[in-house]
Formats: sequence, structure tokens, C-alpha cells
Amino acid sequence: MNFLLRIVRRVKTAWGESLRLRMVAVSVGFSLVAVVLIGGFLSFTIEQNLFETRRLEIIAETQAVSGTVQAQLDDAIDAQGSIDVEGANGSVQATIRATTNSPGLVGFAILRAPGQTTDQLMTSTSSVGFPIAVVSDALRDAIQTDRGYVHYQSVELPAGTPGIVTGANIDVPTAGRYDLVLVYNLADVDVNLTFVQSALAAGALFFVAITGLIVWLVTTRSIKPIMTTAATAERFADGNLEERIEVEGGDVSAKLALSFNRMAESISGQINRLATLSTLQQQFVSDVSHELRTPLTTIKMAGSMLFSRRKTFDKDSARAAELLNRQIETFEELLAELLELSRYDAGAAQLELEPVAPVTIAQSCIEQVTSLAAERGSTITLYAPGGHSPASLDARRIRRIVLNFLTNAIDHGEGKPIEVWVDSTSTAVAIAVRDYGVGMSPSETVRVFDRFWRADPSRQRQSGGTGLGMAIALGYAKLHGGVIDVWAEPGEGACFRVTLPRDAAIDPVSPLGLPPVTGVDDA
Amino acid sequence: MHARILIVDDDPSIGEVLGIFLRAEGYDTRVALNGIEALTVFDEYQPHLVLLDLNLPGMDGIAVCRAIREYSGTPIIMVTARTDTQDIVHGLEAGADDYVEKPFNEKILSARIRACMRRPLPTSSSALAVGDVVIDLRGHTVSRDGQPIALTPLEFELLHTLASRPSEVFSREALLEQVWGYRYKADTRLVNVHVQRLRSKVELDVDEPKIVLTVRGVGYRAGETQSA
Repeated sequence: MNFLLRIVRRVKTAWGESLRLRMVAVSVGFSLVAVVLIGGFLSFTIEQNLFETRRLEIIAETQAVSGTVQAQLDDAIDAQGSIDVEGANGSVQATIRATTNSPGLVGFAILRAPGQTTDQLMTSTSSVGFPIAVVSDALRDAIQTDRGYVHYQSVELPAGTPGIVTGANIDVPTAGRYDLVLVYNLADVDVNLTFVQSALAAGALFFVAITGLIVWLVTTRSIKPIMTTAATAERFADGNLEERIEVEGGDVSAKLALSFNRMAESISGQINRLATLSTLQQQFVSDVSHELRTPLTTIKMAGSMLFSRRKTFDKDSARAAELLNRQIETFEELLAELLELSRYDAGAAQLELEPVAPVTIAQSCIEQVTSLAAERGSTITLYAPGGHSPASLDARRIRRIVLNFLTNAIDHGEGKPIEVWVDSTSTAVAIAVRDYGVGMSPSETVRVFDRFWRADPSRQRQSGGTGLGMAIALGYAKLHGGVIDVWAEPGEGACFRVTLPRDAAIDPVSPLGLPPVTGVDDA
Repeated sequence: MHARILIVDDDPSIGEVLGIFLRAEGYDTRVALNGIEALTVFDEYQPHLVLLDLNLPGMDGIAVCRAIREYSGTPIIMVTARTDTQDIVHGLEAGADDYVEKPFNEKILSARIRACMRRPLPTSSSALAVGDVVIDLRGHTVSRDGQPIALTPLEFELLHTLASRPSEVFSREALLEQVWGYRYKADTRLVNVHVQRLRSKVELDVDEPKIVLTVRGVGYRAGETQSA
């Protein structure tokens, strides 16, 4: 059963996928119906014709024989009006043998019609092996009822071949009415018919096969350009922007190829232009960041020197030195992040993997921001059901991601507790940071990774931040083949979760819920 | 006597502000604006340390570094605005002892300079042996079978640190702290590159080290000392 099902399924698939198969099947199906109809009609007509001809021939012969026999019997009466019936019988039989020349005569019989009283009797006779069984009473009734005509009936002979039984009435003087019955075998007609029919069938099959073949060839030829185009489009989609179709001739398939090539040309042109533009832009950002670094170094050192000597300045100058120093730091941070982001955009960032336990990273990040959190009144708690064994991670980048989550949580946590969750499975590790602060609306949530986007511009920022932090964090996670998921409810808080696969080729399933729930994962 | 520092940077204002800062820290400084000038001044000034910008017109910082290393082990701290891994590794491979990225924090720079110029570790013994290599701590030389091997002070320090506790495996972070004086930042490339440089000088077969051994996933340790 399974085997059958499989075959059915495969045929279904092929049917759905192959235009050629469908075309061939449909055309073969229709031509098959057509040849069956035509062949059936032809065969029927020929059959009718053959049998009709033979029937007429046989009837005519019977007519002739019965006429001859009647005349012979009438002549057999001598002058005294008497007749030697048995003698007549014999000579009649001889006459019948002599006058029937139609092929297929099986035998004849002269049978006394029932229900009559006559002066004398002539013995009913028949030729050797006459199949008396095929002569029906109905035929004999008909012969006697309507005596002027030859009657016939189609029968099946004992040998299984079709046959015809003819009969006519003869009057034997003084001995009454007799049925002259002739049986013909139509096997020869049947043989002819079979021959014609098999010739027809063979022709029909040949025709159907040729039709199928022609349709196959025509379809193949006409879908070839489509197949070529599809294959080329596939390669094009895979990134081979130089793929083109060879154009031959000027028919509709050449037109298809030309249109495809023009489209490909246009697309690859656009892509190249965009790629160049993007590369130029990235290069520009990278160059600007680098070029700014040298003057910034001077500015920073000078500013820092002024700052360290501010106590010797008057009050306003000292304040100016302070402001200068603080803003230089912000500027430097911004520059560093721009550079980091441009490096990621340019694809120049490389992972520096080392075996490190996710919990260790989480702990060191928590340590780093504990005092900042305490200033805002938040306590940070670590829940680590897993993640205690080393995983291959870029510790610096993961630390950066987690620190970013933490500073966000502190900024928006409204002094409420903050939870850090760490867990791992055989395929992935995850670190999540949950706060119970202001949270975010769905429209804000989708924008958290936008560059320079800030949740609420009116809120005073505590821990600084350039507005690039989340974009960088996302870049780092992607570099790892990982993802960052965000959950937030206004007034309920927010949760940021980074999930990193142990093997970058596999899409990670996060070991942590979003947001993680105490008492479930903690158990 | 003040320690002398040669500042090589094509931006005069950086040279000047560094000069102001380092003089305030108690160093004597000279500024060179390009690579050729740097080599001339180096010979004449005999600095104790070079602050070398990698991005120089004409002869670039890497070439200057190599040129100096051909005849001197004077500590070199490279200063770079390019922070790509390749640039830093190239600089270290050319012989720089350490690096700082622009814009640097002057306190960190000061710490780097101090670490590079500090005196060798105090020691009770006068000689250590690692494998078939002998370290003469008084003469500050290293030799194999009486043949001296030329090491920079940093490489000497690295080998000395490993050899001082032969049974101990040093993590890269520990080496960064003890040899480079790092306390906060873990750039293990520094260690990797310098271990390679050290091996190229002291190992008979670099592919099969006997003096500085790698302990996979942990760090490095000194090779077995032959009984002598």
C-alpha cells in the first residue's frame, strides 16, 4: 500500500511540476478518445457491410436453389400424376450440392413441415454433420407462415463461429410442404473483420503514440527558452549578477531572452550603483572617524591638562574647562561608536572567540554598573539556571551588549529592581536583562535598534549613551549569528534578551523566556 | 637625569601637546615629524623610549619600527588612528612593544610608558635556565651553548617572567599584567605576537617549541629545564 501511495504521490508531483507531462498526457488522452470513436465507427460499418454482402449473396443462393429444387420436384411427376418421392429426394440432394457454390456452406436439410397429412411421405434428410440444433423453430414457423420468401437467421455455430441459417418452403407433390434449410459458416467474414479491426487498432495506437511524441517534441522545444530563462533567473537570484541568456534568432523566445537580459542588466546596474554608493558612504564614515581621531587626541590632551589645572583658574574658566573636558569625553565615545558601527557596516568586524562562561560575562558587567544602579536606587540580581560552563564567545562584544542592556535598564528602570538572567542549552546561550520601569509602547519597541533613536527625548539621560548603543549591540549579536529580542509593556518594564548559537550556522532557540519568569527557570 | 622620549608624529600639534604633557610628567622629549627624521634623531638623541605614530608621510611607522629594531631594543610604543586588527598586528610584528589608539587617555599613555621603561624584576639568583637556553639576569643577556641571543628588553622580560616560575602556566592576561603592566584591558594579541617573536629568536624549531610552550585554552609556560 505504501509503495502504491508513494507512486501516486510521485506521479502527482510530476504532474504538478512538469508542463510537458501534462501536455503529452492530455493530447494522448484526447487522441485516444478520437481514435476509439473513429475506429469503432469504421469497424462497425465494415462489419455491417461484410455481413450484409454475404447475407444477400446467401439469400440469393437459397432463392435460386429453392427455385431449382421446386422446379425439379414439379418435373418429377410422371404422366399419371404420380411421383417417386424418395427418388426425387435423392436427385434434389444432388442438385443442391451441384448448385450451391457460395463459400462456407456447412450443410443443408430438407425437413418436413410439421402438422400436415399427405398421401405419401418423403423422408426428411440432411447432409452429413448438419447442425440441426441451430435451426430454430421460430425460423421454421416463419418459413411455413410466409411461404413465398426465403427466411434467414443469424446464429452461432457449434464451432463458435458466426453463421447464418436460411430456409425456404418447397412443395413436394403428393408429399406436402418441406423446409429447405441451408446453414452457412461466416468464419471467413469474421477472419476478414478481425484482420481489418486489428489493422485499425494498430493504426490507432501508432497514431496516438505519434501524437504523444509530436506533442512532447513541440512542448520541449517551446518550453526550452522558458526553462533556460528560469534556470538563468535562479542563478541570477543566487547573486550571479553577470548571468545572461544567449539570444538566438528573432522569435518569441528570443524576445523573452532579450527582455530577461535587459531586466538583468538594469537590476545588476542598480545593485552595483547602490553597492558603490554604500561602500563610498561607509568609507566616508570610516575616513571621517579616523581623520577626526588625530585632532581629537590633541584636543583631548589639551582639554585634560586644562581640566587638571582648573583649580588655578578663576571660577568661570574652571567651569569652562570642566564642560570642555566632559563634552570631549562624549565626543570621543560617539566617535568610537561611529567607527565601530562603520566597521561592522563595512563587514570588517571580526569575531575574537575565546572560551568564556556567559555567567562570568554577566557578573563582570553587573559589577561594572552596580554603583551606577545604586545611584538610581536599583538593585541588580543575577539568576543563572545555566551558562556556567564556557562557550566560544567574543567576550568583549558580548560584554558590550550586556552593558548596553544594563545601562538602558538603569536609565529606564525608575529605581526598581533589575534582573539579569543567564541560561544555556546544548545549542545556544542567552543573557537577558529585565527591568520593571517605564517600559515602552509597541511603536517604540520596533525602533529601539534605530541609530540615534532615543525612547523619550524629554527624559534626562543619566548614564550618557550616544544613541548608537543598541544598533551596535544588534550588530555584535548578528556577527555571532545571534539575535536580540525585545519585550516591553508601558508601565511594566522591558526585557532585552540576546541569544547566541553555539554554532553560528544554526538558528538559535533561546534558552530563556521573554521575559524570563522567576520560579520557572529558576527551579 | 630625565628619561628621554622620542615622539614621532606628522601632526606638529600632537607632538607639541605630548611634549607639554610628558615634560610635566618629568620626561625629556624630542619631536620628529617624519620617518627619516625619526631615525636621524634616534641616533643622535639616544631616547629611552619611542612614541611612534604608524601613519607617517614617506617612510611609514612600520618601516621606522623595523629600522630601529635592527640595531636597538629601545622600547617602542606605537600610536595609531587605525584600530583594525591587521594594522596593530603588523605594528607588533615589526617590533613594537605596545600600542595606544588615538584618541588615547594621557593617564593610560603615562602608565604604558612607565611599564615599558621600568627596571627589571628584582631577583636573588643571577641566572635561570629554560631548556637549553640560559638567562643571565645580571648581564641581561640570553645565550644558548655560550652563543648570545639578541632579545629586546620586552622579549627578555617575557622570557624572564615565564622562566622565573617554571612550573606555572601564565594566562595571557597574567602576562599582560606582569610584563606590560596592564591592569584593566585585555588585548591578548600583544601577548600572542610577542610570544611568536620571542620564539623566532630562542626556539631551534618554531613549529615545535621547547622554550615557550603553549598550554591550550590557558596560556603559556616555560619549557622543561634540563638538569645542569
